[in-house]
Amino acid sequence: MENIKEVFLRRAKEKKVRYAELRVEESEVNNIAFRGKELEEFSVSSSRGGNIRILGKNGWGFISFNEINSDSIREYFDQVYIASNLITGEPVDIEYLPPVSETVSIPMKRDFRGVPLDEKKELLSEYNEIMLKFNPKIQSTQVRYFDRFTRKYYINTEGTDINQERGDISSVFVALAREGDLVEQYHYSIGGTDGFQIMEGLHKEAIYTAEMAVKLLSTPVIKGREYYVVLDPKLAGVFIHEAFGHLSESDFVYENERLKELMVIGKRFGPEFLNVVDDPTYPGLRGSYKYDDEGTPTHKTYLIKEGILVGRLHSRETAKKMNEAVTGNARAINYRFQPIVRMSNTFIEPKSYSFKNLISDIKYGIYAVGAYGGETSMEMFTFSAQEGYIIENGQIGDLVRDVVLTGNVFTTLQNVEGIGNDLSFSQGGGCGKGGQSPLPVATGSPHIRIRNVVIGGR
Amino acid sequence: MEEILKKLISHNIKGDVFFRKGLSTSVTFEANKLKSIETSESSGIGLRVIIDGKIGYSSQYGIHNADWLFEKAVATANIETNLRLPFQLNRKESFLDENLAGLSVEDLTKIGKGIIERILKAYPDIICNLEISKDTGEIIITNTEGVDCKREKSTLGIGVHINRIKGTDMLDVYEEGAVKELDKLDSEKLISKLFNTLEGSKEIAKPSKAYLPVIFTPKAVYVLLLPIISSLNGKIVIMGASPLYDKVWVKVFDEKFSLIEDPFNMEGLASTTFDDEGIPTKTFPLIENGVIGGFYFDLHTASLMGRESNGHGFRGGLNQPSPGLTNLIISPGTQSIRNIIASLDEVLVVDQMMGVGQGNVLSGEFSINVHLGYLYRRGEIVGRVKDTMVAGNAYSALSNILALSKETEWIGGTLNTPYICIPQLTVVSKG
Repeated sequence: MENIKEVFLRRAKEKKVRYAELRVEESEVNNIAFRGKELEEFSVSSSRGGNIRILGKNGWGFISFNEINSDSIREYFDQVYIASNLITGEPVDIEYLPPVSETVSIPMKRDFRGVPLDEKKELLSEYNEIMLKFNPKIQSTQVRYFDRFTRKYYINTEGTDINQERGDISSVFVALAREGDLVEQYHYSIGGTDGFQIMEGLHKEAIYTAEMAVKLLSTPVIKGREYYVVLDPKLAGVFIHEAFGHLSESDFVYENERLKELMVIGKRFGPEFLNVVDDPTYPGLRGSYKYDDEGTPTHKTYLIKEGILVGRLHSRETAKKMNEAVTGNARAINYRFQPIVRMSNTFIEPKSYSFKNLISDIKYGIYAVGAYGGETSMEMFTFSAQEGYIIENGQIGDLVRDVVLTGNVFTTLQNVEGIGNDLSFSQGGGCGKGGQSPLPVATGSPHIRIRNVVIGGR
Repeated sequence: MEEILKKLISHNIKGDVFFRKGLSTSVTFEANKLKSIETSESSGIGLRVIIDGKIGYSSQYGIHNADWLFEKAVATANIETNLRLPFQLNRKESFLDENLAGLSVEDLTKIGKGIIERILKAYPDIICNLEISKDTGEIIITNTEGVDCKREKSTLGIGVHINRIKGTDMLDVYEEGAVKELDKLDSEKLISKLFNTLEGSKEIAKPSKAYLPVIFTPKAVYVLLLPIISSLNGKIVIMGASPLYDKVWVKVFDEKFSLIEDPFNMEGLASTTFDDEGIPTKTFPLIENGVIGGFYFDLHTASLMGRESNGHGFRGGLNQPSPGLTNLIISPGTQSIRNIIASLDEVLVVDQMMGVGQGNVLSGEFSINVHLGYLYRRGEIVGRVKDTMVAGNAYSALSNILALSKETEWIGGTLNTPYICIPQLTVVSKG
């Protein structure tokens, strides 16, 4: 590694580049999956690759590669250097930062690298068996799991030298129930960075997953219309990620004058009790990290405070262009990609309402629970629940399925009526943007209540 | 590769070795300006062993270490299987277009710039992001039974995303095109599609009814297709999770609906005469005149069902093979799209959607936000529809098709489809 760094820095000096960075990444992944009774995936993979990015006068040159030695690094450097100078147009500049030198390692309670593959497999098999045997209507199951240990080296021409290590686990249980031609499914997902212990003791979750899949067989499809909705913390987390989080990513905004006007700091987007935060420094979540992929140290950023737009997420380039402070949100899913502005751990801060308070005066509405996912086009967004319950006269009633909600950033946030006191985070799955998916992030929220939400349905 | 193969043979272990190499060059324009030039070189190997009827698998990007791959593959041999590796297939195929592969960064920049200039000239108030990417790559599949196949390919892809903001109304449109041969590149078509969209989006319209005929443009057909191709996947069939598991040779869909997989279609980007396990491919009618033709399998999935692979073992990156498809062709209809639209009192044309694949895909239920859609009354465009959801079930929608257009388009280079008109779906709008 030292040799490679030296070649890179020497070449950068010789070519007198303004700014250049070298990232090298090593990872090892274990994959285990059951599908029905069958073990479907049991494999080990490893990867070593790197990239060089150089800032030319008017833009970026970038190369990613698998061949890493002093000769190849020199050649790659020269190749990107030429590319970075081919770009014509307007000058591009970035925020420069003082150098740091640090090794960061996220400790694991039970390091998954020390857990034998067979033990992992047996535990997952247990959860799989629980679901398979739950009820004759359970037609099949899936239990998927991966763990990945990644070591990232980052150096740049500012003199920064960072070595970050972390583990990441992501797992999902799926139960499929069947009656005649009707097939319903339910899933449970979990993820984390702090070790294999998060996978232990999930028997109840496996039972619940199977139970819900069977329940959905006799559940009617929701009727499409506008509803009063209460979102559980899981879905509310996805809601804020889609409804506002992506719009806070400055790479959508910084070159778009009209969007800048719409997203001007100080503009009201929600009620005075709404606070939205993105915080990579929040300990122990999948979206937590100390330095981003541009070597920028991270901190907590308020996006919305008391309903007012107060901040946004930045890379070095967007921060410079918009004359705002860097936030440490330039992330790449791996060495094959350039860092782009991404969220980390995004959440709605808790307030005082209990769940009971939130639903007590709703005459007719939907309590939407769990999250399948979400998508946004900036102005409009969708997010879908795992299931819904009719709320009638303040009481939780019948189950409904296929609950997909939609909203508009300029109205839906204004329609948030109440925020609960029970913040919790979800960290299964991941986020996709610009062909980079899935990026580990966490989303969080307490229960929240929103009026006039369009839900599709038949 | 040879080193690993020798190692397998010397240990008397059956297995296959998969090699993938790629080189991609792309130029990205952000907010109408050239912003970045990117190159990516990659190479890696995947090793599958079969020991005492059990599969083990390892893969490695970067420096190939035969000992490591061998050790890890042997250590993971746990997946029970009856699969038999194919014998003696020896094929070299090349879809490498020298003109395309020879394009320089300057050439790519020129193509991108040309498109943006055309668009900005007609619509100076929009913001255009564009990426143009040239990819060349090869895969080699060899096994201990004498298979040795190689496929080379080059592709050129263009993706354009345009954004127009008026007040708080944001219009987002994307179009893409991908070709294997440079002279098939038709940027004019891409530009004219964008112009049509911008022209049709001047006014905002609201559907007058809760139930309307809905036309899915080629770009939007995927929401109907996704449940079908999932349900015909051998893996889903084995799980008993496919609503179509007992419907082979049964008429399930409208007789106007045919879905053919054609690995030999020369325009499609996924053309090949063998799959990633070394099994020859063939033209495969998944659905013919509404009748289910069969399921698609890779070696292992087929063996679990006591069947033979039908040449559908494909690999994403260095992953293990799993059932996959090549080029999909939905048969066109007889009427022009203009005539279909004109024949309806009111129709919602859906072009871009959000929320596809969220929810229970296998059941066929969908509930999507109309990200980009238009309302027509008796052939006249009323305007763009927003804050609207369309819901239905893909199985029932495709069992009652009002019309398929005679015009077809390639989507993502691997799906050729007409516009599909469904007589009635549920439409919910805000307010």
